Amino acid sequence: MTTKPSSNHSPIFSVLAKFFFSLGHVVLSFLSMIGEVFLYYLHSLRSLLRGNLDWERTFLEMNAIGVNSLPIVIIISSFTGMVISLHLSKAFVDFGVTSQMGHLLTLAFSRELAPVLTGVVVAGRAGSAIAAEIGSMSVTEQLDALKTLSTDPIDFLIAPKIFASFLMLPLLIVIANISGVLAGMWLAVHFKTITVLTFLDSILTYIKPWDFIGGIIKGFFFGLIIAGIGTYYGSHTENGAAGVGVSTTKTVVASTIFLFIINYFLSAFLYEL
Amino acid sequence: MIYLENLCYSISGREILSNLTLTVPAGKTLVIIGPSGCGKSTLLRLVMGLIQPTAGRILINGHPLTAPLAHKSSHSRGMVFQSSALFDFLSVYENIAFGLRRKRTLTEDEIRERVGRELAHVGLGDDPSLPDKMPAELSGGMKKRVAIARTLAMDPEIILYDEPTTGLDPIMAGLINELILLVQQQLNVTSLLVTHDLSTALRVGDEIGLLFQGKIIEIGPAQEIMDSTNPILRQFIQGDPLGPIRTNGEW
Repeated sequence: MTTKPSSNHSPIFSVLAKFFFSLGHVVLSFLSMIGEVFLYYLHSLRSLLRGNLDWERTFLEMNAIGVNSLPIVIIISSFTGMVISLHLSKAFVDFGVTSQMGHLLTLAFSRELAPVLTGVVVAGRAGSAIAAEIGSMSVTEQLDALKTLSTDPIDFLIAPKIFASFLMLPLLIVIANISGVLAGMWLAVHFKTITVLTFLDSILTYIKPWDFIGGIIKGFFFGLIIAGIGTYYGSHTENGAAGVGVSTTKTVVASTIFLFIINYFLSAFLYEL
Repeated sequence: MIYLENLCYSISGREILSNLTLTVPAGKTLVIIGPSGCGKSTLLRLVMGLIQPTAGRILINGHPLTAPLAHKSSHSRGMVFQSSALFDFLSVYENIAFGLRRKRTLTEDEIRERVGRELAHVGLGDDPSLPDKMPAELSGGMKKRVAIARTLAMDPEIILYDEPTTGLDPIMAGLINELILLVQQQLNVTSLLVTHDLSTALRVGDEIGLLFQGKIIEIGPAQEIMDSTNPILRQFIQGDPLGPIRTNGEW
């Protein structure tokens, strides 16, 4: 049980005590969230290994998280590819290094842009949907009803979302890579900055398979983060419909922050920077 | 039979149930009444195994209830929730068939037959389009009846009802009361029902108990309860805002 700081002390002490009390509360809440999310991962793995995973639900979730996110991933990565190409074309013409365009654009996409853009898009679209679905089931007693019908909510609800997100994020990143690079190449060729052959030659010469593989590996982590955080906030939803809104907002904010932080460490580790 | 022995439950330092001991004999219906927030629903959630008591024990047909619900068979108990808790992503048919499918012991034809039988049981067998409807298309009373059908489909020996008539008009509430009685008489199930609706308590209860400050302060047959001189019970029955039950959310 936590005890609030006593007020029978000097004002400075009280302010400091309140500060450290609040800080401690935030740190404990954070650690509690991390612990609970890791338990979801472990229980989901157990569900898979014991053959309890609901595959029908998993395929439905793969459709909801992956296939339904495809249009927005393609649109966002294509236009990002084009706008970067636009900037690079102008600068590279000035410096006379247009032959490097394909290489630089692809490097940026494969290592960073495709994983991060896809992660943010899926966090906003599917992460919030995960929190909203689990949250509304929680406040309407549907999670309890599952248990009364001898159904573990982790096997039926949570594990399918975690596995679907884990599997679909890397695939979406592959699509984002293709869309972004192709759209960027189209724009560069369209403005006659570079030929298709020079663009492709630059990619084949300088880009290594690991540049793509590293980005795809990030996708597995991002998938786990988005589904884990969505599930956490969803299952902690309180106060009816208003609480569902709060949970979805928290999910998007927390997932996005975690994505960027984890992305930094993954980049440093995967590309030995 | 349900037997609760010295059951305690606290949350965030607040004691909700305190050394509660009671018995629901097999085939009987015990109704727990009490003011809002007195722990009635918590009591049901404990008996269902959805939460664990901080002390005391629960015996279901003589066997102690120990493990969390989702990890063991709960087929002997079923619960009808206050909000009906129908799965809103499944049709009426799929809702009732849900638990049967999870058992993996019945064929699809047997499941279809069982769903039809349970819908007829709750008086919803006449509408051929009903099984395909989604919960959002149903009225409150229909949702409640489908929830009862879903519970009955699992062949429970014990049924727990959480505020089964709350939010329903008097006619629909009367219909649900008759349904609860019918289920009890036809299937001889043991029922524990919590409500603050006195007419439901009087209609369906073999015995009625008043829960107050975490304890059962009075229990007995309907007439005995109505004739009681206990001031807390009198205040609750008469709906008097003045008395030992305070109306500011505290006891």
